[in-house]
Amino acid sequence: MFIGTLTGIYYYEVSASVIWVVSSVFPFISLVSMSEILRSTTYNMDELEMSCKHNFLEISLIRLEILGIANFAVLISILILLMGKTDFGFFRLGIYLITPYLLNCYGSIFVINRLKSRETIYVCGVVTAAVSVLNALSAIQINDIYTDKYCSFWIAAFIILAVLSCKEIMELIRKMEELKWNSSLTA
Amino acid sequence: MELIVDRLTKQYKNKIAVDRISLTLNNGVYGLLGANGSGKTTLMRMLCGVLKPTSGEVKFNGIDVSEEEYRDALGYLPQDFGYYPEFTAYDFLLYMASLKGLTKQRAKEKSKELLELVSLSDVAKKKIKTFSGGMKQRLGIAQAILNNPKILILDEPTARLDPKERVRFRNLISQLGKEKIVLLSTHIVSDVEYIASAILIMKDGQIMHKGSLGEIISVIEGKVFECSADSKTAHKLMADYPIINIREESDKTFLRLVAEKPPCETATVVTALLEDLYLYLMSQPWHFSGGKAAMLLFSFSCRFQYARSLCIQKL
Repeated sequence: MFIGTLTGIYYYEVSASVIWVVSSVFPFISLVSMSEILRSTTYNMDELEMSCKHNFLEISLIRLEILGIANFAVLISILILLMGKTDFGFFRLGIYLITPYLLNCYGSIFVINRLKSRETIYVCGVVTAAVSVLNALSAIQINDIYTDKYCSFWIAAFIILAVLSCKEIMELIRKMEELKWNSSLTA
Repeated sequence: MELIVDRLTKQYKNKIAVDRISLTLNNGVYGLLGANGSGKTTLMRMLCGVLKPTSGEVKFNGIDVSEEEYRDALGYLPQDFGYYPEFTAYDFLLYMASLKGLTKQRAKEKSKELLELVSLSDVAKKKIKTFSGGMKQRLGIAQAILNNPKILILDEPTARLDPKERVRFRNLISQLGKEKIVLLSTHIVSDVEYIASAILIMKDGQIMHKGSLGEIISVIEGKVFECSADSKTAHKLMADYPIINIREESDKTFLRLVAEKPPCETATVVTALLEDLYLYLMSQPWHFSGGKAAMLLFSFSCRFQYARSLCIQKL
């Protein structure tokens, strides 16, 4: 489906509105990553995995690494394809696409760090949907959102969300390292 | 081989789940008995490195619980565990084997061997979601011994097993206990009674009694009585003593209870069992916990049954 989408983008004429469409869909790719992070907890395998030689932290970090690389590959592919179709440069287009993704990352990992429940993935789903809808509505309501007028807003938002996302990811890794008690494991 | 637990404590805000427990475990099977909420699972999770203690240490042959080498020597069966839905029994064991550091070849050999041991060879390629509770439990036992662990921690391993499976499991654990440190927690006293070389009784986060079966039962040896009494006497005895068993007979009530001296004229002293000790200890005053609720229910249940039988007789 991904290859089909890329092929569609490559062969067919696209308008500038493809930016808000793609940037609204992109957060769902990070939702796949979130579901992987939460997989152990969702299916109640975390206790077993934590007690093994290659433990929970190692597995989670490897998963994060692989998913990060995969997401990055998807982003670059889409950027390269879209670059020739719109008037925006590589970095500017990248900021427009990545900023909603980062907002979703921050929101979802914020939830993961604070909510200790097997239903956390559903909350992350709600966060993703909210970000996607918010992004789409913003693009529709503010016609010139992708013009120079809002350029500094996008750059500031990108930087702030990148910093906040990194902070939450570090917090997630720290919690995994400290073998935090999961309230759902209470006997 | 020695597993040393030194003043292990786990405290949450206003509750101490495990209170300064110190133990030294060598080869053999150790039974951990305790009511719900006594801290058994919390203790076991700290011994497995799943939960970080508030204070204290756990070391196996000098290796700390947080080190990879410790986990390499560990096998753990949690009280409640899940599975990834797409896994078959064989896939599950291969996955756990890879997490435990087994090579691919060794993982395949060991998985087949253990599926045979727990009688799941026929369903090795079936998805775990189609399994019964007992089959899942047997699979859990198999994954716990994949890496031939030196420490085996089993949290209520026989919970979903039928009597025949339970006997098989006991025999397996007895064999494993010869060369390993096996700690198993259970509510089923008979599991521990037959196979444990030492028994630990836990309550409110502390180990109340520790020793061989004979040693710990000596606490109430000579204090377990059986008697048949009329309804009025039975009612009084139930109010005054911890009751282990009540049985309605044709014109009298049969009681098994714990007392310092014969509670009535017809009382005879009987040999104390582990279950008597367990119920007696659990009935002693304690802070509110799930264990207290369970004991209250048990006590009320006995009294309710007695009151119900009185009503039926009057009618």
